[in-house]
Amino acid sequence: MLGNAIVTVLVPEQLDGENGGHLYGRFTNSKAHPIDERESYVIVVTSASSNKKPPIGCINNDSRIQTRRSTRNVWVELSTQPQIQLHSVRVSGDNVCLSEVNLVTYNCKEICESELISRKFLYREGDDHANNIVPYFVNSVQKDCKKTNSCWLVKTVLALLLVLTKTILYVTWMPKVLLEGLHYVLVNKFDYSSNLLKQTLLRIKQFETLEHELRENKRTLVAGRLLAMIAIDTLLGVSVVFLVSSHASLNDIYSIFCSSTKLLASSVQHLLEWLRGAPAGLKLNQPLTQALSAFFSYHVHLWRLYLDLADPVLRSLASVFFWLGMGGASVQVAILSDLMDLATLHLYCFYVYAARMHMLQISLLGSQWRAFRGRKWNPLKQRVDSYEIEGGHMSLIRVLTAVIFTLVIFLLPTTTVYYLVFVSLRIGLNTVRGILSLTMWALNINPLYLILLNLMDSNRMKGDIYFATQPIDNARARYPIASPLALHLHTWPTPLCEVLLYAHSDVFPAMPSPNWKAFFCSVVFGKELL
Amino acid sequence: MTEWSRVLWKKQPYPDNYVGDSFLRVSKKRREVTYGQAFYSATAVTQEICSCLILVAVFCGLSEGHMKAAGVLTFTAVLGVTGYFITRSQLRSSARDDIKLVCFYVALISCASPVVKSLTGSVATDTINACTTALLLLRIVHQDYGALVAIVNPTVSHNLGVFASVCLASRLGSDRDVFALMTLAVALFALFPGFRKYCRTKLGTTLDLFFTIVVVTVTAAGLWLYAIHLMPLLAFALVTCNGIIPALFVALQRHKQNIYGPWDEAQIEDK
Repeated sequence: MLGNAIVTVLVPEQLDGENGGHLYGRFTNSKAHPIDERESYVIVVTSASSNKKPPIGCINNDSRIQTRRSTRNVWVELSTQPQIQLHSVRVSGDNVCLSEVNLVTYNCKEICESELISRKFLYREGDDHANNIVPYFVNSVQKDCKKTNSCWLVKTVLALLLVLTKTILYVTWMPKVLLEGLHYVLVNKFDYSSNLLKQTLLRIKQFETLEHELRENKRTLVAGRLLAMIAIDTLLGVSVVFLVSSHASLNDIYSIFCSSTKLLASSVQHLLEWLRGAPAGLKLNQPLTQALSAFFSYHVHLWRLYLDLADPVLRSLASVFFWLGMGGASVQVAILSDLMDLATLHLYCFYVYAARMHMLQISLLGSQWRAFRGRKWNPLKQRVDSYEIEGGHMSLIRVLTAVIFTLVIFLLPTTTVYYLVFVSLRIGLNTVRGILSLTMWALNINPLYLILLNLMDSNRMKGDIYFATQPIDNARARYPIASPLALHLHTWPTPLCEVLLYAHSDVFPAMPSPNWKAFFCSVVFGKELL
Repeated sequence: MTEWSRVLWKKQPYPDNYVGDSFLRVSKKRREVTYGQAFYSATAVTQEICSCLILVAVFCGLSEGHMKAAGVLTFTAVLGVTGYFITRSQLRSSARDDIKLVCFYVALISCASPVVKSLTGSVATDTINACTTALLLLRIVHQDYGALVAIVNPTVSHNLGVFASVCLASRLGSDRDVFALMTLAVALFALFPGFRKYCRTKLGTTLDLFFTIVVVTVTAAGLWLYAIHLMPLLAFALVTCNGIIPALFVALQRHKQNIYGPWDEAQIEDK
């Protein structure tokens, strides 16, 4: 009898009802515990089908037959009818007293299919596995599981998907390089990040990740989520394209777009006319407001001219965009966002003019107010100092300061009104753009696949383990001498938020959130543009 | 008994803890100011008030058409040149620099005139009047009359004066009027205080008093001719500033408890 040892035997419950055969699996042991000098052994039985490794036990349903004593390291005898029962356990040739044995039954399928469990119970090589059973157990089961054949249908579908993804990547290799170059130029030279380019590049990156995941021939949660997201996106896009094209032709859409842009231009003109008089009853400085209004109106006139001139080019581009929308709903939203930017370009120009004027005014106000009181900003010491007037040159500066301060104070309401009007227009446009960005983000991170898995209580979502005792009927009859502790290993699904965090990679972008501090600084001081 | 003096090396017939009159080493408990001194010091304020009123009078004359812009400009030029020659010895810069400065001023103000003319087109006259009054009052408050107190800020006072004159000048009809008024304002508010300081410090009290009387007469004449509704204001200001306030000051002096003199240095003990 092996004295002073604890043995844990983990047996799959799929063996229940099997007739006979050998058991295969792994085992390990740990060194003696320093205080009570107990050794621990772990025996993980993974399957009853033969593989190339030597068996570690057998199923013996007939209690009368005694198998020959084996000289192997461990030997487990189970009887599987009517229930899984432990017959005997032998370690290093010695029989172990059954009261020192923990018999744990587990569901093989659950452990095999789950990928979250191995992440939660991380297996490290040098650990004391017999005392820290679960990682070793999970690792053993999953390693042996890989060798079993999965369904041929699943394999062919995966292979097909892999081939499809690879072809898409080959086809889009050249466009990807071009688009990346274009995006780089736009961002660095014009300070404009096109949503369409970003979305297309992101989609290509998603395909790359999908290919990478599928290549290893496993069905990971990330791969599933990506596939589901791309499928939903494309389906939505194609359905929208067909819906729209059944109601209106391309020319109709283009003329709608043109007329709405012209309408926008004329409403801006009306706005400027309104500002020229006394808007909302405010009394503005007449010469200045007339000059500003005339300048902006001329700008709008130039814009209309430009639209008329660019008509044929835009017409051809429109058909390109229309068919590009087949790529998915997120691509369509990106196109919409970019077109909106293009259509309101003149408003952006107005905003920039007004913001620069405002910034000049605010900085003049600040510096002249300080000079009014006889102070000056000291850039060396980064503080406000007072300064002395001496000499005729300084008195000229003093008079200049006073005159400029007065002028700025009196012209302040007029320029502020113009600035406020254009800033609010810009904020409105940015809000719309933000909503479109959020829609694109939602379509890109689509967690529908994971939610569905969670609702269907799929095995792939299981990430936690707990043990429950199994009551043994007729314990005295079955185990006359001593009975082992019978446990059942249950799995528990991981919370959805954790799964979302796990099934995450770079290709799922972060939520676009506005920087409020920069926003307010920009509105008040006008240094950076919105 | 000999006078107790605050020294320890002398053997004095007083006990050690005797506190004499000269214990605190104060020089004077109260500086007595006579009515004449107060009156003379108050003439500085009178001159300032008068210069503000001259500006208002000229504005009234220009806006009602009694005065011509050319007349105002000649007046300013004459005053400027006279003042320049009188304070010639004081100035450090050469004549050439001064002429360049004058040219710059002229250029600056003539460029600013058209803009200033349309500046307050949408503001009501009452607002302008109230604004100007407040600004000129503030100017008088902040002006440097020789006292070393915190409220004195010659830059603020100068800038307030120019602000007030811009407010007034924006009410005028033609560019030339605006130019004339602005030049006068610059002369009155940028150059005149310097001249007054020179008078006070270099020329002696009699000349200064004579100068004050000249200024007051000119103001009274101007107001009489162009802005007769402000004459009572001038009279009130003169009476208050030169009569009542100094008398009040002298009468209330004996309630002052200022102590002048060196203080004993404080010894900081390390506990």
